[in-house]
Amino acid sequence: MMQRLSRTAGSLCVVLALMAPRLATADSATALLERMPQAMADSAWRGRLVYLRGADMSTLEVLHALFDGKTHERLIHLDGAHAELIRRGDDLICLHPKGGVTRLDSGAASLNPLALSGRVSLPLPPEYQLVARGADRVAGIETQQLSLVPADGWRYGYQLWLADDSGMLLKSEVLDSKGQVLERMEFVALDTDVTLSTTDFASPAGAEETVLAPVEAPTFVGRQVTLDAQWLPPGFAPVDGDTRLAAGEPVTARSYTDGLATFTVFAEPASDAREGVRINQMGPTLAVSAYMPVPPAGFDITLVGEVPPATAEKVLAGLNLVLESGVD
Amino acid sequence: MSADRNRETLSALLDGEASELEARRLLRDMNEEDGQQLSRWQLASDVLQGHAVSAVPADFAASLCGQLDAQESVRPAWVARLGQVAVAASVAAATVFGWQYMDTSPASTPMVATGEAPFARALAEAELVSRDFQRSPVVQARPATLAVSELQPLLVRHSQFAAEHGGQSLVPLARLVSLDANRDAEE
Repeated sequence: MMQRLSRTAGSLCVVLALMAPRLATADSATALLERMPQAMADSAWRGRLVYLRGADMSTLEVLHALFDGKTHERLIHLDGAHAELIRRGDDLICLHPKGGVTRLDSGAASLNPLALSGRVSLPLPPEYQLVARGADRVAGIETQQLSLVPADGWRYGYQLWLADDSGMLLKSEVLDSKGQVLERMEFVALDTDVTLSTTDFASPAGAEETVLAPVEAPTFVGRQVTLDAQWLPPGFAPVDGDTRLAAGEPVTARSYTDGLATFTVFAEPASDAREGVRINQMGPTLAVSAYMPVPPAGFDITLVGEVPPATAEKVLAGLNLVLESGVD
Repeated sequence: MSADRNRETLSALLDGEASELEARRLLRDMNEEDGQQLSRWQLASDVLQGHAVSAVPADFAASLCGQLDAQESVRPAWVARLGQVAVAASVAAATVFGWQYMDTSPASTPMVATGEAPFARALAEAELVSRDFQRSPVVQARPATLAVSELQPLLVRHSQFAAEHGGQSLVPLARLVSLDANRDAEE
């Protein structure tokens, strides 16, 4: 497997090297990349973007503003089925095509020391080689194109187009080990001269809601767990996690990132023992689920993330579960 | 083209020093030996840089993939590849979880659901598992598909984590909305 991973990583290096004839002047490219996560975070703007994944293409309207120190974003699916997402700080609201709503409210506190309130931003690990590919234009804005070439086969590669003046990410591609684009996001219009109010980010009224409420204490003896990955790809670290109720059951999550790629492992009490593995690949997003028998019952363990299948397989194989010993 | 010259170019490629023309030529002329050489050097580079190298036996999935290849399949190529990986994972999972079940004491609190040792043991015995699988005439069931509707709550939570920590805040959210809107097509 390692040979195959090394070979595929080597292939991706070759492909991207062909596309990127010159190395970055490290300082400028790194500085631009470091600005990316917070670029335009304090400003109000409205834009339109296209998102491509395989044969699916979506056009989305995006609104962004900062109120009371909290990031507010709204993404509206413009073609085909209607779907929306509203983000207000740590709260997330999804409006689904058939009218339902999923709400993710922030908890008052979290059991996890790396939870939302204490989140950290990881620097880009040395497992990526940063390559500057020069100037380009996206949505009429001057950008710098950067390639992030993985040094191993445990992660995908990225191409990023960052605005010259602000560092805002205007175009992004995720590439597999053969250099094939798994996903592309690209702004086609961006308006920074806008005035937005909190009403632009208001919750929809009257929709049937599914609330994934946070569990504030280990109250589900034998059904609530702590997740611990014994093996992680180099450069990945745990950054977040929580336990939320879904259909009355506690579902524990722990998230890991290397600064670009992210995957999350979930554990939920299983109603039935399943055999084998269930999977779904959605562009770069992989979901793998397996049943883990733990007396007296068992758990469904699911990994969701933008990582290659081999990474998911090895992380799951090295996963530890610890049953909570709290009181009912 | 001499073998020494090819090796020089391979080395330059790994060091990021090969010109575009050289890289193109090498890609065109690369044979299996060159590919293995590149793989070995990449592995050596990983080790020197302290990157973890896999503990999974090299042929862990290979024999399973061979079994799958032997099956008649009407699936597209990418689905077939996924199936190979998933079946490999399913064998690991089944073994691991079996070990877990036997090794776990229900009386212990807090109870650690096996953890490293049984998983590591399962991985160490993966070769044996593969051989058993090869010998067995039983055709492994194809992995089932996780429905997007079932995944939706997990995708929402993962997308929030990815938006907060992944450095590309908008992309995971756009991905989530697009997936939701195209859910019918996905299923």
